[in-house]
Amino acid sequence: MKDLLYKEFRLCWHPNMFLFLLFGTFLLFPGWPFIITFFIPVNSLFFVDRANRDVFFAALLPVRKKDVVLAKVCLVAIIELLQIIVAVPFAIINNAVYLKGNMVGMNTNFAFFGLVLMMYAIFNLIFLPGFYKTAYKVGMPIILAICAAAVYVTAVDVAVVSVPVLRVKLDGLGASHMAGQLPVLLAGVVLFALLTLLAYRISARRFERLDL
Amino acid sequence: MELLSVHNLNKKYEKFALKNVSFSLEKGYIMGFVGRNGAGKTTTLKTMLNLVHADGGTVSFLGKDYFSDELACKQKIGLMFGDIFYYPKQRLRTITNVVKRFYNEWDDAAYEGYLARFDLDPEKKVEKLSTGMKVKYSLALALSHHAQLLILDEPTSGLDPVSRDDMLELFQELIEGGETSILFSTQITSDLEKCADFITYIKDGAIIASTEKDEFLDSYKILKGSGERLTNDLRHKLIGCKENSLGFSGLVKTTDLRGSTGLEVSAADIESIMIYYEKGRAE
Repeated sequence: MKDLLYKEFRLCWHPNMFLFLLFGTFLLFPGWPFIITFFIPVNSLFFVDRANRDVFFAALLPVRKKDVVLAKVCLVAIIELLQIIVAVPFAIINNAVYLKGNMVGMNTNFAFFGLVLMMYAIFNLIFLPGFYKTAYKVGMPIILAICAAAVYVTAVDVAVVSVPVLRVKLDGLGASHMAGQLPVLLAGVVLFALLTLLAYRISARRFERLDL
Repeated sequence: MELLSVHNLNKKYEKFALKNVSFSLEKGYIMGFVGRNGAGKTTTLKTMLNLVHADGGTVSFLGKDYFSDELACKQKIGLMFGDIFYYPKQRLRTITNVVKRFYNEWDDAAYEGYLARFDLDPEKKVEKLSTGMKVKYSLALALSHHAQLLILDEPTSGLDPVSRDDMLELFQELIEGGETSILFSTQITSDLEKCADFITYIKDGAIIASTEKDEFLDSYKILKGSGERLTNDLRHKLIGCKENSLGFSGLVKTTDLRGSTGLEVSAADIESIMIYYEKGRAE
């Protein structure tokens, strides 16, 4: 497994990834629905993999097929978490600079990052098993996963900004709101872990059955 | 000693099926796997390797059941699939550094030796290599983990005649020690004549013959004669037949040769055997 992860980072991680991670800096710009930033996805990873014949390369190695999938899912999760880590400092700067908060979408607080993790969880659960149905077709699973994530994001953003109770609880900035927001962050972490694990299980089963 | 044995391998697709594919290969020999496009060569190789799931049949490698001991078997097999080349933007060194981690018996000294021998620069990117160089790089990887069986799907297609000849000479050198065997598929029949010890011929997903090359060649003859000599009885014996205004020529099994006095009989080469088989009888 360690060797497969090494393979992922040496052969599948490409320089563009650094650029995508930097999209976290967009949180510096005031007044727009921040959650869109996290849409810059792991998609490119799978398109580049396909051009590289990555799946077939891995299938020829003396490794279990489910470990091939596990290594890929780990890389996806790592990219997603890195995106969040890169974004956090810019969220803090944003909150410090623009004291009025975000006028268009949700503020970047603890709850915001919890909701982003849930968005990733939905994306992973739809995209990964969709991809491993064929281990070749990337486009349709990505469209479906992004649509699902977009519906979720819009619903959450609209709800938090317009429903008074949620607005008070989840949109507030500063330490005084932490008690209400930390459970949302925690729920995000748990859901991200569980749904990504489920995505891996389904994907591995599908990949195992696949004729390459 | 038997290295590889494939027994009654079956795989059904909507429009194509592998039908009871069986053959075996001993240590220290080269087997050519021949058939026209779409005959099932690649599907057979993939099914043997469990990249495609067989509907039935067994594969044993070094006495082990391949399907239940896949990872251990793969340690001892070197694989190359046709013109599929991976990670065109990566340097050879990077890819090698990844591949070597997966093999228990990886041998750096052997790898360096093959790089030097094949004149491969590890700093080059895959996309900068010619087809011949890519094939050689794949071989260097396969050989450096001391594979006992090389399974090569169309390794010579896309190579110029000189590179092809080099490659075939290399194949023969590789088996000299008597430990390594090579199974390679090809549509280029002259490759087989140059270097194969055994021939396995597949047509429409079924094995027509799998035997020593000389035996394979001896078991067929070409018959030629004028049109009126082509009786119904003879027509029935012919595997394939071509007719024109001057007469006919056809392929017949050597065992069916009796009773064809007065006809010109000549030896058959692999190419003509294949062509007559694929054309079939003219009615």
